[in-house]
Amino acid sequence: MAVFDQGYRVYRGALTPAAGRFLILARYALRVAVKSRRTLVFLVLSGMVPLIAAIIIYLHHNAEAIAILRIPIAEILPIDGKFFLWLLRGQGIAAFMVFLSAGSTLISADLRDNALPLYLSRPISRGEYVLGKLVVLLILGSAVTWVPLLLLFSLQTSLQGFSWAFDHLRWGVGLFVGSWVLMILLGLVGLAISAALRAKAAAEAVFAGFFLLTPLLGKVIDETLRTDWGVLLNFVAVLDSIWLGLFGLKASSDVSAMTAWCVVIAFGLMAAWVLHRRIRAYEVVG
Amino acid sequence: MQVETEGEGEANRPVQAASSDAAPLIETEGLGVRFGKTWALQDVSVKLQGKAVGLLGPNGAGKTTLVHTLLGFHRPDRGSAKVLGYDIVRQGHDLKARVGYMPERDSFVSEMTAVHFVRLMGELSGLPPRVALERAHEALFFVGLGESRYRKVGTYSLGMKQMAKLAQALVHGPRLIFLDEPTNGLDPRGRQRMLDLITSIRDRGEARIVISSHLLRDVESVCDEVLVLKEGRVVSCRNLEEERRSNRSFLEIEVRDGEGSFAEAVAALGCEVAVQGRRRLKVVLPADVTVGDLYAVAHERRTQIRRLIFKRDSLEDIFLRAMEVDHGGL
Repeated sequence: MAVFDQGYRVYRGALTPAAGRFLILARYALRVAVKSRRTLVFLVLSGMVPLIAAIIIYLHHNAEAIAILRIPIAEILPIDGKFFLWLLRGQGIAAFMVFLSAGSTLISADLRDNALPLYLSRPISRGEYVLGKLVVLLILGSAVTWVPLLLLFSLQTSLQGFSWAFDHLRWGVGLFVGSWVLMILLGLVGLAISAALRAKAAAEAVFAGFFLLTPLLGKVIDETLRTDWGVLLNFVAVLDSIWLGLFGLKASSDVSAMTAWCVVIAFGLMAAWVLHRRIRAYEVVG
Repeated sequence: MQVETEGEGEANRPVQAASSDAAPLIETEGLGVRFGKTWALQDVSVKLQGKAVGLLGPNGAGKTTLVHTLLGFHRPDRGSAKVLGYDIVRQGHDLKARVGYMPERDSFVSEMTAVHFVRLMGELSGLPPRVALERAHEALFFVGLGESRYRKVGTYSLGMKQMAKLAQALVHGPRLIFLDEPTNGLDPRGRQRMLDLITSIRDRGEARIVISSHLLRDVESVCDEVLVLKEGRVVSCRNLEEERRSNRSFLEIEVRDGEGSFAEAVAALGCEVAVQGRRRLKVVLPADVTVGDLYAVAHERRTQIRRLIFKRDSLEDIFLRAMEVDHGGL
């Protein structure tokens, strides 16, 4: 294409719709994210639990296989709310690993490269920038959580009959809503940490610590201050409480579903505040 | 860069608006921007019309803040501003589709190849994907990175990164391009190449350029209008083209004595005369008056001309005078 000898000309064609332009960011960021071998390994590994669960569901409905294996699978692993809750918990851990790998560099790389002035000098707002990055995590998270989980729910429905799905619709809704609560919380916190810390290793360490070490911190607070509020820093317990509520199961932790929702919303807002402070085209020094 | 035909891809609205065609390049009215208690820009009221406008001023004068404000990065605390006829606050989204920006600091996406990087920027500005890819190739060829366009931007040298920044600012064919210190860190050859590119864009007449720089020679060689800032205020706003034209017959004359009567006689010839000090005059000759006429007047008045030189105000003179001016005065 011999274009080097031609002069500059203004673009006079038409523009794409402004509304979905954040998806361009998502498309490019997703391409970078899935280039990471580690992220790909986590994505592949995250398919193991649903695969095993699919086999279990299949075995439940295959008398010949049960007879050959001689395992009372219906007694050991009944297909009930707890079964799907455990699946959600398992996929939640898988989603955490994927977010840890893919989320920590989504914004920090742009901050390191000082790319924000380039993005924000274009017709794209700060909110759209964050949304574009969040969509990447939501796509990856969906591939790990509600998509395979609802496929399992559909498999059970197809083998058991539609009446089963109607009777246990709450579990299906629980899988969907519970996955989205997890993805949005992990996504916002992950992006906020990525925006606050430029170094990839530091962002990953803080993200891991945020979910793994805060339960310990909560215990320390409970022990030293003799309170019960430390459990609110235990995100596993907080999310579990929400999920139990969605599945209509009895809470096993000290956190009520209402309190858990408040904690999740509070941390979501804090993450949004950090993003609001950090996602700027410029830095004001002094 | 190749011109793009109309109606490509998922077209929904034309890129040009009739209202912005006749509008001044930049028009501000009492513009003020504050960071905490410090005013970074104060009472900036200008109307710039040039093809290429230079923003000059010492470090901390407010050049970058002004560019950032016009790009919508800072919300004005006072006053208003329009760029290409678009209000920077109310029509910022529309404006940004028509503006290109090359920041001062290194800015890129290091993990992407230059083609992907420039294409991404084009798509974000509203180009359909296929057009963005085409124009990304063209822009990279235009800035001289055609052969390296499949290399990751992070592996580029400083000069190549500068050119990649220029390419991303041009890819969407904006009508106004903000260049913040475009020759920063370039070797003499790279600097000349950058200035040549800017000049070629200016001369093509399709896009207008705003250059923020502290290098007077760069601005002088490219710009036809300059805005000098000092401590966040406008201290001078000059049309360099007019200055060049009016200074063609500008003379500095030193006489032995009788400068008052000589000045009166010269003024009677139709010249603009200013007595600049004891025995020194500044004279601007109209087209029909020659230097010989001045000598004839001097002879009639028995005034001895000791020195007569043609002089032209350089940008450096304008800049240095502007820096000496107190706040608010011109």
